[in-house]
Amino acid sequence: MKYAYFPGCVAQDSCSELDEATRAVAAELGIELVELTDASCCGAGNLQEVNPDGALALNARTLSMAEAAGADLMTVCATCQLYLARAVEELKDPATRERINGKLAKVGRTYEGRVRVKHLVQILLQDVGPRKLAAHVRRPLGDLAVGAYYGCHLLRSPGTSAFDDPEHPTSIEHLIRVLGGRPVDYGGRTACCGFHVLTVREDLAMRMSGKGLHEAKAAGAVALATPCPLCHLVMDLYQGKAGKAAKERFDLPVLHLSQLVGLAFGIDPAKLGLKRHIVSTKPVVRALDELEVVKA
Amino acid sequence: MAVPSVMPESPTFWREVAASPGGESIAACIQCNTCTSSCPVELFEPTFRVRQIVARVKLGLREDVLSDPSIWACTRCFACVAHCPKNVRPGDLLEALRHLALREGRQGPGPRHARAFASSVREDGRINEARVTIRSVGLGGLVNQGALPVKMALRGKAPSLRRHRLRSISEIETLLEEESP
Repeated sequence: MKYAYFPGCVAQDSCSELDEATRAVAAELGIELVELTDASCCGAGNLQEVNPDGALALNARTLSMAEAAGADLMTVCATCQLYLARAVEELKDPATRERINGKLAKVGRTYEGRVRVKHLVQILLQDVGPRKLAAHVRRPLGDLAVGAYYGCHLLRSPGTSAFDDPEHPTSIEHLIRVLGGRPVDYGGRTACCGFHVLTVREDLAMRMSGKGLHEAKAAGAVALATPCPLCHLVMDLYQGKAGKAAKERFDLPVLHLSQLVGLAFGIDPAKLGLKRHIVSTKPVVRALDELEVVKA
Repeated sequence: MAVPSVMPESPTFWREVAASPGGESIAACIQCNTCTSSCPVELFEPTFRVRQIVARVKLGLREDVLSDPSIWACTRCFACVAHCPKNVRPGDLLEALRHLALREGRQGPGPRHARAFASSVREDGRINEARVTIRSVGLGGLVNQGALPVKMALRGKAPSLRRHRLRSISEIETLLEEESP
């Protein structure tokens, strides 16, 4: 199993723990990751607004790199997933592809339209599969009450209906169960965290993320798992501020999905970057240690 | 008798939007309000109504729409795009409006952030979170973050101030060159 790995900007900067955890999980599963060290930003909507054609050309360039490596593209960020999968769709139109290939020719590249863009969630559930995943679980999550926090862009990405129902998703809950855990059901699991207005309307983002955090907490979640580092940034970094706005103390660790998988695989928490969070992840690690003691 | 001023300033504004990426399907809008009903921003800010923005475009209220800060309050969740029964893609249409606002040099926190982001991509090929944040909110905005940057640094979570420019940055520059019309 081989993928061209597109960590995205944030997993190579403030959320480098996501990159570390993803690499550890891929190694455990024997997934070969082709490095795209020279791939650019996906544009995240901002570049698309400033320079729509330029943004499409950059994403076509990334896709051409995966195509040259003979692999599908793997993302670990919901926003990267959305904008790259949208580029794949737009480039299915022959006229658009010809126009963009005209630009790519100037940098000695071409994209023929053969690449699929898959988020790690899809790869784990469909390409690896629940059975193989379960076989790697050495520390089942047990009674750890984990809330899936989907956010928006994974669900709105073209192609998501191939592995989940975008309106009533269950893929992350399914993964939590495969990891031996107990998913918590709550209304905010598909709510918007507000990341994309964080620098423009922080007040709004705080009220939006606060609602999701409140609903998860009220439903009994002791941790959240998210497929998006941008959701993570709002829900973890800004959790204190969201708490102030909501007049509530959340103390809710927000794990990257790769970290949760890594924990269940029994990978050393130090290799999963669990200390690089603002909201302490100690309660999660401690709960799993206690489970281990009970089992022994 | 004076005619009340209901004449739109730019009756063909909708055509301009329809010619921008994302706005192509505006003519199909039947004002059913599914977009506003799907919108998570509207839950918190009842004055933010996507349907009305589309209506104002169709009415030709160009200045009114492009100067409205609320086009920058959209979180790009694309729930409206998923739910629109006429495939108008209202969220994409808002992207087209922001594109038009940016193209004519409009100012404000929204345009400032979009430009800071695009500059970072142009300069390095990738986003430098620290630089984008400082350019988006300014040093004053950074001060408003209180102890957060310190906490981030203590956890090893602070974004790098060092540039990590792609080796092939010249490719990025070439691809981002705007075609002359």
